Amino acid sequence: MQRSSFILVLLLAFSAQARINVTSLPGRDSVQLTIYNSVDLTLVKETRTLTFKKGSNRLEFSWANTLIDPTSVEFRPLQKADQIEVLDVRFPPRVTNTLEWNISSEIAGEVEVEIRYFTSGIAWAADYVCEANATENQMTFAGNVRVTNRSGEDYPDAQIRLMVGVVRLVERISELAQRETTINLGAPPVNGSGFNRKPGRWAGFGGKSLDDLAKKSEEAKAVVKEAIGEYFLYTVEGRDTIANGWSKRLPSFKAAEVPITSYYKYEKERYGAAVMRFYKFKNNKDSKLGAEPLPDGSVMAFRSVTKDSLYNFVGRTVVKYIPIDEEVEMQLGNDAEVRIQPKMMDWKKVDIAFNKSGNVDGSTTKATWEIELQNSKNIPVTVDIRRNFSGDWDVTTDDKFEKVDATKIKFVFQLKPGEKRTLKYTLTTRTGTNARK
Amino acid sequence: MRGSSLIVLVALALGCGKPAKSEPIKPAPPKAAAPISTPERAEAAKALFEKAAAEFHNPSADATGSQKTQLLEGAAKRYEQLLQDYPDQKRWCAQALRSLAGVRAEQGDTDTALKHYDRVATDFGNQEFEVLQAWKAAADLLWDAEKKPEAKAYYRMIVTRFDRKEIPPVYKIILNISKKRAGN
Repeated sequence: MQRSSFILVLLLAFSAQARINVTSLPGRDSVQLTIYNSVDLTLVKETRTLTFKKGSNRLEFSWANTLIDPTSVEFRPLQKADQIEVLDVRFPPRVTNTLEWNISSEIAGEVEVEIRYFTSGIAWAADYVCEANATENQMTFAGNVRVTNRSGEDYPDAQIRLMVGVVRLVERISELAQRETTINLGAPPVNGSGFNRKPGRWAGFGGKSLDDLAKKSEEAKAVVKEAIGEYFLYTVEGRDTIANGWSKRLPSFKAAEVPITSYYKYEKERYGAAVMRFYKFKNNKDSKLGAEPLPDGSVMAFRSVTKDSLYNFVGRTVVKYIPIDEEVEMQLGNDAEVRIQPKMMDWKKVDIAFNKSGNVDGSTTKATWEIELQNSKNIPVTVDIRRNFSGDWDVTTDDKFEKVDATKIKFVFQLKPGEKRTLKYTLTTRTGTNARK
Repeated sequence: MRGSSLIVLVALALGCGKPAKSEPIKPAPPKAAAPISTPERAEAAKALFEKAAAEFHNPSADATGSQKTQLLEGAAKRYEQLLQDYPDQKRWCAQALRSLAGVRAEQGDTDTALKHYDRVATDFGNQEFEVLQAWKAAADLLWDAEKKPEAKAYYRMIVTRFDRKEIPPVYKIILNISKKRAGN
């Protein structure tokens, strides 16, 4: 329901003192919100059909109790523009925070007009839901946007567009927001949000059953994306009512059978004694994604544990902006079912070197380590173990490892369900005159 | 006798009869400390302004007779209270002063209305849009009253201050009409 704070009244007779033939306007024909999070600005474009009389007409616009920027308010006829002209803007003393356009019309009759302005107080945030299959090699990945309205104004049946990217100039915002929308008239959002959407939004599939629409759902995108230089414009399909003081979660996309790599990392210096679980995927077409960059957002991850899709909560994380073709690593917290426990089994100092005065000048130490690995899960897992060293060091082991950099190595193992194994290595560290580098 | 009495009176008046030791000069009473702007005070000022507008000023537009008179006075009283109680809240004070000017204009007190419109610019010059609204309202008030030379002075002030490259859409329209009416 539209709040009374925002009033448009057409004064059909021009009079400086009296209000004659005051006519309440019909509601908005359409509203479009383009939300720029980075600068807390939303461009509102609304269309209304006004009935003009020939001569002077007065149109009142109030921004009382809203966060509308009154300096940004613009009126323009969408039809017969050469016959309708705004001559003046007045601030009538009889009311507060209201402006009044004095509009000259050469015609009498209905004209569609656009009223455009910026408001603050509307924001959006992306969130994602990852549903991994039981073997954690595929997931269904769904994106949503939550729009929050604290602008003081209700926006019923609004088309919502979201701008991703850092906006530097208001003029640039305005220019971008004036681009024509590319509206996807496809099927309904696949995950059935349960929002009160108007039946008319599915007009593109007139005469078809809901089942037909569901079959089409794989092709559907509830949010249309459009690249504009360094920005990205998302258009939420259909229309939704964004009431003041409320927030609403709108489906953005849903992709099934997205390949993922599930693995575990152990690195004492980064994660302490815990084994961290990660899901990795690529934002590209091979992964059934890649149609657009994915904005920053929170991720909730679940894993299917039974055939009837009972899900276990795996973890939650936050992802940064993910460009197209970029690989994403989601850190989902520790997993007690995968255990990695290093133990030092032996340590000795050898090759002690003395100088002419008989003082120790250099030495070499040899430390023998055993790392116990245990997978208590009923699926195979990949573990990535990283060890950090300093100084002049060497590692000898029967297991394969990779040198990551001058101070780090990594071991990668595949562990079968329930498998337990031990990794052994000896670290040789040389100091003083024994050091070779 | 009369002459000596006069001398005594004059001497007293000049302070000749005072003891040699002068009385300590009392410090001037301290000025009331200017209130410090806080989010709570901003919220209170906003609430007072909105109450004045929503419950008194705006309904007065559709009221008639004594009801209109009462509503306008009710609005004026609250705008004045805001100006007195929240001088630190420049944004709300500027709006209250401009709205108070509107009330006085509606009451037919053009002189007071113009004084208040002028004060918006002098007291709250940084509140640019309030200044523009005040000057435009003052100009229109005079223009409609056929006081064209006085109105032109306000239109000229608008042109002088706001004629620049980057201005918002509302400013542009006002600037155009102001230029036209100021005779530029």
